Amino acid sequence: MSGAPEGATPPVTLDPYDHRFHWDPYPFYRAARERDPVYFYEPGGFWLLTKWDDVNRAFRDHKTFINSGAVALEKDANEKLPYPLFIGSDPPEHTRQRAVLTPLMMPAALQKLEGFIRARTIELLAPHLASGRLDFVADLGCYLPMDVVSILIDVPPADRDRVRGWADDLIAREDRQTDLADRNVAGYMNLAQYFEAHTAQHAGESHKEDLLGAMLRAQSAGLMSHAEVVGNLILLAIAGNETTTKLIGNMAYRLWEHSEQRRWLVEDAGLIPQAIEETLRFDGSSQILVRRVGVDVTLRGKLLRKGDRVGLCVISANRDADKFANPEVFDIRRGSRDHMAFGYGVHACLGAALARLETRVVFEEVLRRLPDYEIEVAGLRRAHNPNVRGFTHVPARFTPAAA
Amino acid sequence: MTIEERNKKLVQEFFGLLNRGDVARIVAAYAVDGQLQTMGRTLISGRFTRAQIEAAAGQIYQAFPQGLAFTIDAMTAEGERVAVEAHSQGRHASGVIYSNEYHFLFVFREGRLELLREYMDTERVTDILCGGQRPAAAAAT
Repeated sequence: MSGAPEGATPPVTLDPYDHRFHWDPYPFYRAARERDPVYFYEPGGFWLLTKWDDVNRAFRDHKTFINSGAVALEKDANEKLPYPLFIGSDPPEHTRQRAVLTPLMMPAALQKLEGFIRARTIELLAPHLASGRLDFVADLGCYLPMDVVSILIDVPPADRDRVRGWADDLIAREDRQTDLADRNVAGYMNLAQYFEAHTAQHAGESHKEDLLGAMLRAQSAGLMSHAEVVGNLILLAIAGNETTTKLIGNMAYRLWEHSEQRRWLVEDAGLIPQAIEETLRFDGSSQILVRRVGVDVTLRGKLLRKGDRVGLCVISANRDADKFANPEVFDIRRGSRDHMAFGYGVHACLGAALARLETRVVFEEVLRRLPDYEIEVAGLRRAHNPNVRGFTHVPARFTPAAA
Repeated sequence: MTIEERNKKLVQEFFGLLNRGDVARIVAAYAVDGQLQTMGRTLISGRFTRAQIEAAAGQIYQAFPQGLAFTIDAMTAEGERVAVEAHSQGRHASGVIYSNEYHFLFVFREGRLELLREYMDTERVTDILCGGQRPAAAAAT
């Protein structure tokens, strides 16, 4: 299949709650970039920025575009939550909490997880090799990131399915659902209840050199409150799980769409990091990241007032023709750079190195074992959430391994 | 231990922090009014306060997903000043291998960095880190 633009240019309407929009939002974003780049979404009462320059500016200017009271597009959604998520704060509070977690999320610190990630990937692939059928998300992508996060926050194997299920409940959205539903709140509360018990259980122990240990030590030292520790555990269960899961599905799909490029990776696994960067640019799993306006600001002639919510449409910015040549073409050899799939600036994704590590190992093992996989398009299913973009099911067939 | 020996040890520790990406301790190595000056007229050149260093320090991993490794080649110390020859190597997000050669000047005050000034091959910075882009003012002159 070619990397040609997907569909004709429709009128400028962006509806991040429309399930049809989730299947192929790119023509809508392109129209917005060309004709109404600072778009006001009337039903939700928030702005959507679609140009690379504007999104990048908002990421860099963390005093004009703040995170406090943001994160979710839905008005007052965060205020309803009793446990604060550190991504919903600004310096210096944000810096204080982030500094606790950062050292454990650097590439050198994460290297020791590569062996586990590889072994677990092989273990997840093994039962499917003889049948020649695998669902990249339901059989692989939805398990691996949660297993890795679970190691970092000490969630035992027996509890992982439940925690993942609650994280799914928290992010799921019905068609055109613009407020938190009972299922979302229940997911959040179940996670909160679980991590309340989890922290109580580990409070008296000598803490491990993992994220849970680092946060419990910080709590003892007065650097993090108990509510912040629980909030951050909820955040890790969602962020560490959903976005990497979706990235694996998106990459499996795009490599199948561009099978000649997949062949290059089969022949030279050293190209996989470049393929990951291009997938992050071309079809990343973070669709919209949210800020609030800290002080009145004018963008392209439009006044955004203090307190307004702003969605930074990362996947639109990453296809901006003013920034990227041939942006609608998937090309792993373009030397993809400057995409903002992990955000940018002080709030840039803490788990970026982990997501890249997991995705690299997954595709090294997948392409070694099923280099000829064919996706069954009729079986594709999407997650529906304005912030996260990706599939819940990516079924594939491939040549079965010899018995 | 002389002042010079102590400061050379601080420099070695500082490069260790850089290579591990320990942002909190990198920032803490600076005096409250400490500054970083990146020489040249590139997009990343300028004089930066501790708050600006704190905001920017973690971003190196956006350009270098696996980090950028610095190696000290030689050091010369006199009082609170340490001159360092060093080189770096890392794989840029675009897949290009980036390397550069540096001359750093560390100026300490009571064990904290008052000034860190870095000189390097700015053409390589522009070509790889800045994707060929230059500041408008520099391009015009």
